[in-house]
Amino acid sequence: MNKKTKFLHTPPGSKPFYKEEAILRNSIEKTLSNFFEKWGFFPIETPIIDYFDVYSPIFSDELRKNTIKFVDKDGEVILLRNDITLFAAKLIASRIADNNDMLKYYYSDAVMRYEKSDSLHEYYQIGCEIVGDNFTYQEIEVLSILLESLPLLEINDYILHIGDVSFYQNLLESLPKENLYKILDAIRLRDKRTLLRLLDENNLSEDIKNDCLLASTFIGSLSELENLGFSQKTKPFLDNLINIGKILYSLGYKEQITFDLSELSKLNYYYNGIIFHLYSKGVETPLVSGGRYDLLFRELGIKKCAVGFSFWLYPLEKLLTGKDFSSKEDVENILIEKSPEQSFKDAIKKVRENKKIDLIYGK
Amino acid sequence: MSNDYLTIALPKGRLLEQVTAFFAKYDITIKEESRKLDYYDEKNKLRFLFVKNSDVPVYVNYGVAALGISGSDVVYESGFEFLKLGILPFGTTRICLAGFEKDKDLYFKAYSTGSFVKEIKIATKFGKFTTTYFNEKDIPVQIIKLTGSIELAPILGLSDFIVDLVETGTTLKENNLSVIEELGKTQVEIIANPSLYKLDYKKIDNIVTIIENMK
Repeated sequence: MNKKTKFLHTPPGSKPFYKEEAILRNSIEKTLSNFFEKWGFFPIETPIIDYFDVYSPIFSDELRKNTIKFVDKDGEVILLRNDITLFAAKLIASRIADNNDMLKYYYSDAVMRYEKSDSLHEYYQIGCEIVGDNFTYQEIEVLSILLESLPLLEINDYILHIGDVSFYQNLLESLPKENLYKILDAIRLRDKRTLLRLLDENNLSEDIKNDCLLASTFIGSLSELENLGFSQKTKPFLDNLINIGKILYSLGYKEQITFDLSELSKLNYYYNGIIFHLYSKGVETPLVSGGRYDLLFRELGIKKCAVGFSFWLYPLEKLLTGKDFSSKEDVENILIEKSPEQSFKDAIKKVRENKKIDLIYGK
Repeated sequence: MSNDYLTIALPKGRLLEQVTAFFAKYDITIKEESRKLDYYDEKNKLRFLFVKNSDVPVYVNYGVAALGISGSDVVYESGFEFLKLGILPFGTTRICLAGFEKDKDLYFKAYSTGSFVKEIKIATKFGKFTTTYFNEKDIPVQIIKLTGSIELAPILGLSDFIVDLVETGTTLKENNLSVIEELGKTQVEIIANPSLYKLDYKKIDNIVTIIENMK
């Protein structure tokens, strides 16, 4: 690549933001940050790099492959931030003595990964998380925050799919973890043939097999979920999701949510409860992903409850192109010409009065 | 383009004829008019896109089409992740390692003893599949990526072997090559963009149920 080409481009997967694009990103960021603060969340800033060794044991092979690493001058392998939830969890796990209370934090930052056909990609996540020793209704809080934030961004045409990985963790408790994750992946990809093969290979009872198959294709309302024909032993495994669903319905969110037992994650081994994604017409990837992920903290060596979600800015910005959520104040133009001192005095005075100005320079 | 239509990406070429004949059985008509790149089935509210075989996963991944019909080999090579909603009852093909008969023993001997003096050169369209397959078998390979006339590679000394789809084996025979080992089978899959599926799952499930029941 010659110098001029390099000058005109940035490396593949990266994207500069300019004018309208930067204004949109900035206004989304401000809107969501202010909203998270209203709910009592504090900001957290994670480092852009960290030691790969800390994360490597808890990464899947795919994740390990898709991270960007380099060796520093001391010979340590350094990982470029690939997920904020993960980096934030390590930050909290490493400061555990300081963390007796319920922590509620939000963030807004970039992550880098290799994804899709091995190209490098810079992503931007804005999200919030709750981490604590004991949870009661924290999932409801997080889901309420998410659903209440959508009107602020003028997102109307969407649906939130909520699943619960603990259902399968309980149902298939007897299986080795590796086999469980293979089955969860087949369910997530709605790959019925692979699922049938895996269920047969694992010598499960007919009841468990049938319940697993029934669950794997279910998408529907709360009452449909409650009336699924599971065996008596399996039924209680749905209690968690049904209880959350009942509260969400009573809060008036019935139209916005769908229960979906194939709603799982590529990172199933971090999650131990609800998993959810927000889908919207006009974008080809989820706008939001989130869930309950105590297991991530267990992997990091501490016992904590955790739940949260992230907006993915790429699809969000695609959806919101042309919108601007920043405050619309009048701007006063101040001409700097023959007597600059007076013009600057005026400008300084107006800004001190909290007014918005734009200095215009004469010839 | 109307939003009421469910868009399905179909691969042009031989597979399209089979797909068309298959859908016709259930009163779903697909007409490929010359030079037109899409076709609307008004009755079933379906829109079909006719695209190059290897581009089907691209259209589905980027959400231009909600569904795609494509060989599992092409889906795998794309590296994208899709929902795998079903398999069509035709188009199953073997994916094979092929070469000259004289190299067969050499390959199996080295294979059984695990003693490869040098990496074997394989020409193929299926670089990702071939690399993964031989890596798992601890056989060092060098991939030479070609997009057509793969059989020429060993004849011209470009590679030791080829990995390609083999239906009848006629093309191999005509070039004095033969199947050395079957590495897997490819199938014709119905794939879906995960997000678009979640937004329109009722309609998509209906279509897939129709297809499944037709088998």
